[in-house]
Amino acid sequence: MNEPNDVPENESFDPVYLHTKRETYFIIGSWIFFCLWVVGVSLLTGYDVDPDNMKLVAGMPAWIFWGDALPWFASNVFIIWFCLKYMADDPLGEDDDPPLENASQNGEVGHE
Amino acid sequence: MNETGALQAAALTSTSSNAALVSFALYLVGVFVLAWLSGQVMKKRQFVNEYFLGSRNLGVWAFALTFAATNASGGSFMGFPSLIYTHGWVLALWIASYMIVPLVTTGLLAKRLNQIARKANAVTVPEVLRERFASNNVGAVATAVLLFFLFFYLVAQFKAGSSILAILFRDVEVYQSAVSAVAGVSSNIPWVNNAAPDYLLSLVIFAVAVVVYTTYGGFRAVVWTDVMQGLVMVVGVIIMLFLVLGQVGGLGNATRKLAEMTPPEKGRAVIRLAEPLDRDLELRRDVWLATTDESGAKTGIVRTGEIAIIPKGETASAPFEILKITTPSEIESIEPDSLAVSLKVEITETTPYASGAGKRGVYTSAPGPDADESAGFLAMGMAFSFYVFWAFGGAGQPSNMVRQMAFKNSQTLRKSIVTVAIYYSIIYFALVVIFVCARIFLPGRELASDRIMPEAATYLTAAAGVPWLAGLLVAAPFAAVMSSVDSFLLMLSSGVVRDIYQRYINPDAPEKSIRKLTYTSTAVIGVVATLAAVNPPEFLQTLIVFATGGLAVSFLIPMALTIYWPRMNAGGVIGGMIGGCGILLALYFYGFLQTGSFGPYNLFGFHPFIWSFLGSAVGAIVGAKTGKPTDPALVKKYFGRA
Repeated sequence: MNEPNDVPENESFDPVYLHTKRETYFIIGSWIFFCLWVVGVSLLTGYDVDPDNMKLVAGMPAWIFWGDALPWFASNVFIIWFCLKYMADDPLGEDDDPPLENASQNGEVGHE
Repeated sequence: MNETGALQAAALTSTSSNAALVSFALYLVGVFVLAWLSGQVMKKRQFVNEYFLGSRNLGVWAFALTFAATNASGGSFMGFPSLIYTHGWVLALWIASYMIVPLVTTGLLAKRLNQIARKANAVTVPEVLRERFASNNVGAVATAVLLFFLFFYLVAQFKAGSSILAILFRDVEVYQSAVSAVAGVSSNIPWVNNAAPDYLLSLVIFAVAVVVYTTYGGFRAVVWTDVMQGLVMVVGVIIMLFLVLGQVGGLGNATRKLAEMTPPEKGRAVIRLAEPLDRDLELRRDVWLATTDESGAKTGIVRTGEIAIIPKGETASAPFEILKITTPSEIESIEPDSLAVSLKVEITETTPYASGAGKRGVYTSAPGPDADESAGFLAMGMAFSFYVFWAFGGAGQPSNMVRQMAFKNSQTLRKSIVTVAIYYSIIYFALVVIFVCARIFLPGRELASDRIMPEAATYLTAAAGVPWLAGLLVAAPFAAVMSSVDSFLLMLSSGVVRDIYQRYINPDAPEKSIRKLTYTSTAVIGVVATLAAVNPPEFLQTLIVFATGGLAVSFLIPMALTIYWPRMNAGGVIGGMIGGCGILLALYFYGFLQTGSFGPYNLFGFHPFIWSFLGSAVGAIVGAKTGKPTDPALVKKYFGRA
């Protein structure tokens, strides 16, 4: 086993890293929530539905409405809230593409 | 469809195809204009960064629509409609993960990846990994895996694009003359003569168009055309949705009719003449024929799946592929096509579906009917697998990662995710509705269901009396294919130029050489993909799932740990890639051994993606724990406060 890398102390971490890590947990949590809703409702009510007793909601089989259309709408509402209200605006770094006239004039690729 | 309807549709097809040709030509002109404009922008910027990454300057609409259009590929507009048509409403569950896909695929990595790519001055995905760990081995493995799976994906998209064109132009006179000329040449060339001449011609047209504009315009052309294509797609789908709902008398009516349907049977039949003829008799594919009893009364209806020929002087054909309809109301309502001579049809064999045969309600309920799988189309384990697959499969696509390296700032990212979420909601849910309804007005298309999208577009516009719209509707799937192909083509060429040539062969190459090599490699890759697509595997969606799955299980976990775990190292990246990719290949290979055809082996009922994903996680963690630690200076550079 190797020794652990020399990682910065908590307070010296890049704030963008800390923000994005927190947002990632939130995103994975929301994926789990909608997965449980969609797969759960579909497994419980959508398999081998008797055509003679099939209920329709908004023209679609009821299990599609409750297990697919409704969570789809809810996820859109959640995404709008998450992106516009929760997600942080972080500085990501400089634009590294100066106009051509400022780039190296020796004919080589500018980033190397 | 009654006989009159069928004849009328056939008559209108010709008009609509000519209109389609004009609309399609205008669309292509738009694409080339955008490519030319991109080329002008490129002259004012540094070549590599502009050609492969659009100078990291994408705004909301550009980022959102290039992301959406690239992901909505030939699979979305050819394979997906084909699956909806074949298996029914259960496809809404199959695709349900797209409700959260925009958030997972972009939110999970984008902001942090963009920041790290800027710090590393990286233009490609392997470059990000290599710079983060200062390891050429990581770069080499990433490049090899990327090029391998991307190539499969590219071949699938070439097939999709060519199939669309073949259908779009099939009633255009000039095109048919060209097809005859191609047939004359290709029939004598071994290997090439296995492909239908109309497909071959379409493949060449498609390849030339996409390779030329991508090669010339680079990433910016790809993004701008993606924006245009993304708009074409959404407008096309919305128009089609309204036409469909009008055609079937509302969604509720369609669902109730669907609930009464039973799956068809695939089989073989021979046709017989009362007396031999003095010339060959050829019966084309896609013809409705009635089976009759001794008194001549109709007992059933079948649709031909391939050309049947009764040779001169004989009275019977060899057995040919048919589809036998089993739904009583359809047997009654579908009239056989009018033929010049009287034929008797004799069914020699039929194979009922492995799941759902003879059962009503299978098209409105899970798991959906399936011709081959006894557990049905979407057994419970597979429903979960696909919910994982679409979200995390998308997050792991290097094509998405490249776009995540290219947006301007985090505000752009936040607004783009919202835009893509709304965009996908419209596109995917509407597609499910459109193609469950298509079963009602276009029955019996299971033998060539990959063509259902353009066929439905042509039929709907003809029936609605707006044949000029067919061009726009058919341009939608074509746009989807083009917007994916151009991105993948560019990624392959960036792999060759940036990750192989500049890294290992000539790091100090002058810009002029890089420019020349980039154009050449983009064009050569396009030509090789075209050749590979001459005889591609049969199932488009299987190939796409394999390639996207392979890329995702190879890149997602290694990349996520690269940007979020300070203790990740080169060994972890390589372990994660080999673990994920190795298990996926093993399960597909075992699937091939089991069935004799290209397809996955679903261990314990779960798609190989799930097992490969776990394999990648285990490989990455074991590799990281046992590998050499990353230089602390690099950890500080990428994780420390500036």
